[in-house]
Amino acid sequence: CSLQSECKVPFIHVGNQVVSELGPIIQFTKAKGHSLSDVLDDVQRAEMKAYMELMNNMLLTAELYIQWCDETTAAEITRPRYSSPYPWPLKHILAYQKQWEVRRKMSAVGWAEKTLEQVYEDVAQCCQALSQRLGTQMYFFNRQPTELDALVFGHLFTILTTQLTSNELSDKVKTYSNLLTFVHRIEQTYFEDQGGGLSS
Amino acid sequence: MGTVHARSLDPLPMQGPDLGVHADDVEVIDVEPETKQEVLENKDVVVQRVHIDGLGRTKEDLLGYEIADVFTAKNLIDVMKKSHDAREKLLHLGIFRKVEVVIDTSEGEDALPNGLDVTFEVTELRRLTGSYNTMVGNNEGSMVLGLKLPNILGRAEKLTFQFSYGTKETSYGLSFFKPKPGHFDRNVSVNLYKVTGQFPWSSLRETDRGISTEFNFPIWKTNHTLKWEGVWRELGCLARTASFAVREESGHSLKSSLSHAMVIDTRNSAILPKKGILLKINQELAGYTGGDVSFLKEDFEIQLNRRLFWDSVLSASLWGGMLLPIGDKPTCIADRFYLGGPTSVRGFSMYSIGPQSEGDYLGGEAFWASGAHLYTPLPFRPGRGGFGDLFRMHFFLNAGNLCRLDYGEGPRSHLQKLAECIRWSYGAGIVLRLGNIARLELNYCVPMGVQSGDRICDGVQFGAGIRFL
Amino acid sequence: MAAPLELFCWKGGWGLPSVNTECLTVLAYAKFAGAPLKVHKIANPWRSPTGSLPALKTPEEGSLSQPSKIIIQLKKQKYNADYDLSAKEGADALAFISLLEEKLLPALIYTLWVDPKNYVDVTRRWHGENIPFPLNFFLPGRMQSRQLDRLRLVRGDSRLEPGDETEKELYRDALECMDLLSQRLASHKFFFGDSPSSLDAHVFGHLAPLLKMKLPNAKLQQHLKSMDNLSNFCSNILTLYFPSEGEDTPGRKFSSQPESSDFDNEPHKRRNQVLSVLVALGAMLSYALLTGILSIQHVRPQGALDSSERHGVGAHEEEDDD
Repeated sequence: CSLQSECKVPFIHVGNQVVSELGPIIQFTKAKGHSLSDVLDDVQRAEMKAYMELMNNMLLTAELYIQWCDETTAAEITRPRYSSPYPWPLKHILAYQKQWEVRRKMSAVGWAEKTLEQVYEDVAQCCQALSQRLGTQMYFFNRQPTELDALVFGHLFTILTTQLTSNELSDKVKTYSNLLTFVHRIEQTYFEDQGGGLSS
Repeated sequence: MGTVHARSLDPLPMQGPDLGVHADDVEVIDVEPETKQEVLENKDVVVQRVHIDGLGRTKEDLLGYEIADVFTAKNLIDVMKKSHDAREKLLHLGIFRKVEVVIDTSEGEDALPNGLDVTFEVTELRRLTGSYNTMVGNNEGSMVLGLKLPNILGRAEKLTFQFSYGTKETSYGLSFFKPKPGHFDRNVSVNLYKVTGQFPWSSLRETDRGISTEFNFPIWKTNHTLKWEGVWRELGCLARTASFAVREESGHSLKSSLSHAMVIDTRNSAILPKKGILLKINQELAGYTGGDVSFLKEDFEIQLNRRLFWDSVLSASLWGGMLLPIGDKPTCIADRFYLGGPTSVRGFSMYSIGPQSEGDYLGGEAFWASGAHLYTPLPFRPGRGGFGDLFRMHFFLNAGNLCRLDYGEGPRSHLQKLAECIRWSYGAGIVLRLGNIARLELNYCVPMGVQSGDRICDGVQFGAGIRFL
Repeated sequence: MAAPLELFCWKGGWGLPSVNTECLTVLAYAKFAGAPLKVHKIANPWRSPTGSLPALKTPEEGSLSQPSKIIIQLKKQKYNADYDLSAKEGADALAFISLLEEKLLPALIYTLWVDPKNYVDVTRRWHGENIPFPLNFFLPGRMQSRQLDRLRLVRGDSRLEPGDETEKELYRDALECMDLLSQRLASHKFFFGDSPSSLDAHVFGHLAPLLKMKLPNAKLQQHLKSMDNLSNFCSNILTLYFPSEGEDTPGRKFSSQPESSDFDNEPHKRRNQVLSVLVALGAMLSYALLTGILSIQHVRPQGALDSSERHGVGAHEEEDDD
């Protein structure tokens, strides 16, 4: 994160250009002639974009909430992990600064008064929507993976493999069997040589 | 009964017993002035008592050291001279607004016939003084509020607070200063600050929040400063177009460093000296006291001044420095040296010499720079003895070089690196002295030794500076 | 029947039932679901039970102020506009609402509150004229700085400044979002089937202000007007569900529930009375002071910061050792 003035990861560095975050990276690769969503029709593309924003709007915010606004998780996992590259006493200052910032963001998007249970409910609602949309298909749209599949895989895989203070978040995801098989399939098809992961 | 009221002793009579009492600035109030004066001048006197009137919160033991010398005076001229020195010392403490000296013959039972009483009538500074300033810089305005609490604990301690609220950044500083009683030059100060700087030549923005402790003490003719500083630095890019090399440097770091500085300064003036030398040696060791930045930094500054014919002055100066990273982390962009600008190597743009990436200057780990100046009065000397003395013409020759040390070669190759591709320039211009703290220069520069990547300023260059080559 | 639910929201203008996106969304949803609400259209957020608008006052669960919570509450009361949606359609609705909030809302905030010309000519003017005195002097400014703060937090860029760069980014997202919505809607009347759902309420809430307000800087507006299906969608909902909002009747306040209009006006009257009494009192007092009938003596405590005597405004002081 220290690499970036805007503090956004991931990023790609091409020549003297820096492109960060998924959206701009997709646009950038599209401009270079690589796109996964070319096969979709207009309505499908609209739906794909909408579902991607669903991920950003609900799942990402929920992840942030659980990481920073649930005090147990923040104290045991998030703050130590966030502050590990910095020396004492800077690590504490920066971790609390970040936490304060996230809380401000939560109140800006109206999540400040939510309880942890309500956030888990939101996650469940989001997973429910994804599960409904996926149904029994191999990928979200037809038989070919799109940007949405990449985004969903990224979030769900992280949720399933990251150890938090409670398993409630991953349990919420695990109740949707088609999402689980979806994550397994992508892992096996595209990342199988890297070991570790869910199968262990 | 004779009363000698010395209101102001400036200028002090240098020598000659009769000058002293008859000087304009000494009032004589006496019934029979002639005879009494004779008596006092010729006789040895004894200072029996020294009073200090007007003390409020100041502790007397502090002043004992400053006025002790007065007791050693043996004759009237001596008494006046020593009293004057004591007065200067008292004013130097920075706790009095006004100090007046009254010398009188002793009275009372134990009064000796040749006994004198010296009374210092002082007016203390207010407990709280404030100041308000506005500053306008390039593209930025700011308001500076200052609060000062002089003599806060009664022994010349000082607490100052400065707050600057700008259109872009806010900064503040809080500092506590305490001198050793009797040795004003030996002092301790503790500072707490937040400073934000923008460095467009590197596309860099730096926010420092820090605390520092400093000991100052003189040894023989040198002044020393020992300092510990802990600072949290936040580096960021000024613009989206910042190069990747600068982006890589951005983020948070914590520097904790011990530093030592030694200064010998025999110059008659800091800004437009006519004679004397300046030697400054600085060393900073970061990393052993904590933080995640480790390096050893050494740098020095020498300046020699010599008066020539027709009121002109020849001045030569040399700077040099080296920054050695400790451990395997490379040095940080904020610690490196920069060169170039209207008061360093003239003819080059501000800090625009040496390694760069996409137009952002990254600084160097070793550098040297030198300058030779011939200062002359303005032609035909307009405003001589007054306004005109603030100005000087100068002809200069500057040279310098700056390089990185991470080429993986030995010290010899580094020296070679510094010796080749030297940047140099010459020119002439006008210097204006601003008080005794800064100077303005308007120069016509001809940069000569230029390497690709340097940003030059060919022709007229204007600049202001506190430190100059 | 239990006490009716009361909804507080910003009053209307430009032929809209409310000028605020969130209020519009809630109003539209309530209409779609057929919820019998008692609607108070006000122009003073301080009169809302939660201090912000919209707000739903329920007898059981107190007051709610977020549109999503209000809609959930209405659903709990069996006023569910999404009843006919299949599970997959429900998922799609959720996704598109997210799309609106992530892509269109920031641009909407920017164009109404941050774009200087729009803000001064339209947003501040409307709020300044409609918010009661003396709140109208500082509330618009405070609302603006909150919206800018919100934009910064949502975009995750604390140094975000109004300017071409930001505008370009936000508008690019927003235009793309409108395109996507237009593609999804195609030639249908509503997004799902023949009856409107919560998604329709949200889309209406976000797009109707853009369509109806007369903004000097109208890039988003032009783009929206060029898409016939979306603009028809909005005007359809307006004519079908808010027929009383005549085209140019900004002076008269119509509310969806006629019986609430009386209630609506009365507090204004009371407030005006209180205000006029206050103004009169103030004038009398100042007259008394000016003519010397009354005088106030200011006693300063001894030993106060005596520096204030010498350091007036702009005085630069240095210790003068003489």
